[in-house]
Amino acid sequence: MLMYKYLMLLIVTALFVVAPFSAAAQSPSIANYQIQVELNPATKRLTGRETLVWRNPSTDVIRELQFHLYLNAFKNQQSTFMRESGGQLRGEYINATSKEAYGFIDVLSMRVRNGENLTPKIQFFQPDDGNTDDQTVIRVPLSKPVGPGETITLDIAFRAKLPQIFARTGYSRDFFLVGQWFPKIGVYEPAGTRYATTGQWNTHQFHANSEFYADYGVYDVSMTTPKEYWVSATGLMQGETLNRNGTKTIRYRAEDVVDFAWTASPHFQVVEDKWRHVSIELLLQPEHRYQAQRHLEAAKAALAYFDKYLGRYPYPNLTIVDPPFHASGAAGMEYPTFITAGTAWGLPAGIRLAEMVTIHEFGHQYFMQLLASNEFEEAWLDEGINQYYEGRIMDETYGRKTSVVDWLGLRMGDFEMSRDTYVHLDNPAISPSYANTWQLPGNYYGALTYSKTATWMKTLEGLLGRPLMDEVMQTYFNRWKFRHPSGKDFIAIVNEITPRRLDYRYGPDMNWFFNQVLYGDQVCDYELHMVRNSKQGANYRSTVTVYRLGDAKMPVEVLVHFDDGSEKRLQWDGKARSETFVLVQPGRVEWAQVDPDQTLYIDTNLNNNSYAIRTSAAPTAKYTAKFLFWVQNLMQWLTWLA
Amino acid sequence: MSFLMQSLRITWHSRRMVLVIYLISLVLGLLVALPFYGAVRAETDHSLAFDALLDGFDYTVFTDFMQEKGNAISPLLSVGRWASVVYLLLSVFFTGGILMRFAEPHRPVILGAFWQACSHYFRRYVGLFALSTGVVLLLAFVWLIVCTLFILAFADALSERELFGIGLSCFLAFALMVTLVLCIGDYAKVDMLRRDERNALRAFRRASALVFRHLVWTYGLYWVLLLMGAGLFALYFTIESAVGMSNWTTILLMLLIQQVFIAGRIGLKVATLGVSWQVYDQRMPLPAVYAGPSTIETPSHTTDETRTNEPLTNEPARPASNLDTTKKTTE
Repeated sequence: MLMYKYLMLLIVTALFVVAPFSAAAQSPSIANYQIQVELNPATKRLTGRETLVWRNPSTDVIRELQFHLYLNAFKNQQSTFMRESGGQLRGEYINATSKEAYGFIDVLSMRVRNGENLTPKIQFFQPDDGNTDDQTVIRVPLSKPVGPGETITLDIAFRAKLPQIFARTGYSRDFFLVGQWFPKIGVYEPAGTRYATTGQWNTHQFHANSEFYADYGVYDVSMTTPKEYWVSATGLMQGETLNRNGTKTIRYRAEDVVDFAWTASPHFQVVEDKWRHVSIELLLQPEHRYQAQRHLEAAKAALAYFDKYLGRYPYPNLTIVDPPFHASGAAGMEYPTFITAGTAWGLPAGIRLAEMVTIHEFGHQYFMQLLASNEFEEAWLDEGINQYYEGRIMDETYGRKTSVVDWLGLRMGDFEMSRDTYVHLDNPAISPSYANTWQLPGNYYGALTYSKTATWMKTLEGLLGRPLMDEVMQTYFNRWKFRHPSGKDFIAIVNEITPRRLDYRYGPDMNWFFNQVLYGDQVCDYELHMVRNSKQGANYRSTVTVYRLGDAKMPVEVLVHFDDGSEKRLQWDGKARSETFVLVQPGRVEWAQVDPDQTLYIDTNLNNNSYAIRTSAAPTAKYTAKFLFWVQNLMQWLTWLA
Repeated sequence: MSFLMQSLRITWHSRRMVLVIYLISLVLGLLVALPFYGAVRAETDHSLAFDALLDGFDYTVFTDFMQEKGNAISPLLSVGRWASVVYLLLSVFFTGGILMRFAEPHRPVILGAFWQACSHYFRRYVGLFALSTGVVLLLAFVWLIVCTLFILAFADALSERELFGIGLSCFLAFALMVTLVLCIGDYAKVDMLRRDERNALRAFRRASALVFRHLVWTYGLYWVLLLMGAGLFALYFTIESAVGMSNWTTILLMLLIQQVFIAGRIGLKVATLGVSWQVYDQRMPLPAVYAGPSTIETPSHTTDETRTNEPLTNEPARPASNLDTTKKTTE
């Protein structure tokens, strides 16, 4: 009995000690933070104290730690981020002549709890490009190494100045979106993790076209701001304390997450809603209050869709922040349980940008947060696959041809938009999507990472069929959630599931597909080149010629339609430069179409996929009439000058 | 409103003239549209994909087409722009003929006289066109700078809606100024013909004085005609959405409606000049000074100073006898 009491006491004590970090963890809680931070809105500065409890996930002895100091990307024009980006992101520019536009972070002290002072040992280093002016990564040698499975507790003091928002984080007037803001430990990849053959730190500098990579953990963060500010953050609010100096301190806690961001503004209009187990908090700009329903419906559509087709959203809440127009550089960004959307006053209902951004950023709760891939090295795994799901949700919610734009007769679907962005590049073969993100050709990052991936994922869906595609994605999700999957892990699941289920229709694996669309730069374009009929006895001898114009080789079907109404489907492995099918039938071929089901969505020209002996001139006549009409109207408008 | 009705009535009775102008616009349009048809038909070749366009705009079909065949289409768009410039110059050319028609509303439309008047006044109207276009461009430049500076100065203090409101206000103010210049330009045209004036600047100044003095009758009516044009557009879009263009029958029907619409716009433009003539004639009556095209000769000039110093009277509308006098000289 006494033994039992001691045992219980031990368990309770242990629970009390580790409770802040490990309650019912679904993830390997490797990097756990307790942070107290104070925001001074006047100076745009943060003052923080951070306690990091980091566990060595490997069997290695760790002799140094590595950290990200992301805010130093905005320190001056010499950082790698600024050199690569030219001081802009997504069309938003830094006000380069203003000192106040820049930002930085300083580690004031770093100590091992009850141990070594690491502060003098902090070294900046540049693992990616050797740019010695870049201060976004530090390493800290340890006198006392961290053994396998051991934890180390560090007490860190830091101060930071937020940049004026142009690239996700910072301030704009009295709006604050605080992301990538604290000293954040890198990811130590034990051998066997992703591509690591030996244990190694994976800590990259902050680049213009790359996002982030982090381990899971518990974040317990207290934020102090002036009391008139509304504050929301990653995770769930634990409490609020009013301080005597006119400030307040709000505490948030998030478990099983890879990052922590927060926002503060005195102007938010807060709208709350609920979807099943998920509380939704929407922080809108007053001028956008009337668009609340648009955001909420989009968020709920995304929640329901992912829940049905991929897996359960495991968190109890979701916060959606609508940044003001003057802080649009903060729009369209994802953090765990916390996303930023983006809209504008007067945005017509038929232009669904607010919906698209909300759905896209929510999708990152899966592709980045729950499946914590390395965004530095394999952006296609989060942005690209998420773009694919954005297309599915948008098109199935708002219409395949109208989901993004349905306004004044103009119509555009989400998948159409992704495909257009990739296939109509000046050179779609410019580069594979698979590369370190910062090494992709500069202006092609978006097209190659988001659009091309979404388009070949849609093509993969076409080849596998929707049910099998969903099975692949669900397996991928269930197997890799709360872990760090790589591209090869995703492909391994495709290869594990699909060949057998498709009766090896595409061979023993799908590597031929990924070698072309992901690791390669092949371009897909099939053309139904010609149809000819000639009489042969009582029958017709018809030839149907298909060309492969691109260098990508994909299996395709050819649908042949005869004048007696009958149809025939022909198979082609798509490897040769051309293929001629000869058919002897009672009827003549009226038309034929290569890839009639648009399986190969990655085909760069879908207009040349069909050939009809006779086509109607009506579409041409229609657009000629319109063309004539608008030319004449242009003349009439000019006449007013005469 | 009687000016407007009278002007519309004369325009209606000048259908031959309107038809000629319309046919010229059609021929110019067809110069671009027929090659467009040929090029698109050739480029769409044997594809079935374009059938999707009958049901409305299809983004994928359109963007694939422009990517592959854009090179064949863009020269035609350029030709379209040049055809519009040619038509603009032709419109300058037509001005004399149109105004002459309003000077002689009771005479039957004689195309020979129309062409003669067009060519007689062309040079002076080119000068006026250059002047009013220059003023418009100058206004655009100055206004763009003013608005940009204003918005930049207050951007930090204004909400999105307020910024939008300011942007819209700037645009509307610009539109008002430009239409005012164009309206003055129309009265200057009348002035040049009525006074046989060759100096565009003087005519513009006199026209400005007239327009500002009778803002409602001049600029107000000008806007009524602009709104009628906008109404025509609203009507057109309503019909288009109701009819659609999804088969040969509706395509041909819409083609017909489109062409009627264009003819209507031409008629409206003619009527606008007609209103200017009517208002000018009533608000700034002059002795018969111009000679008809058949005996075109410059009247003995009073000095320009004399003319500009001539009081702008508010005498009642010039009796028909004035035009009758003209008629006599032309007969």
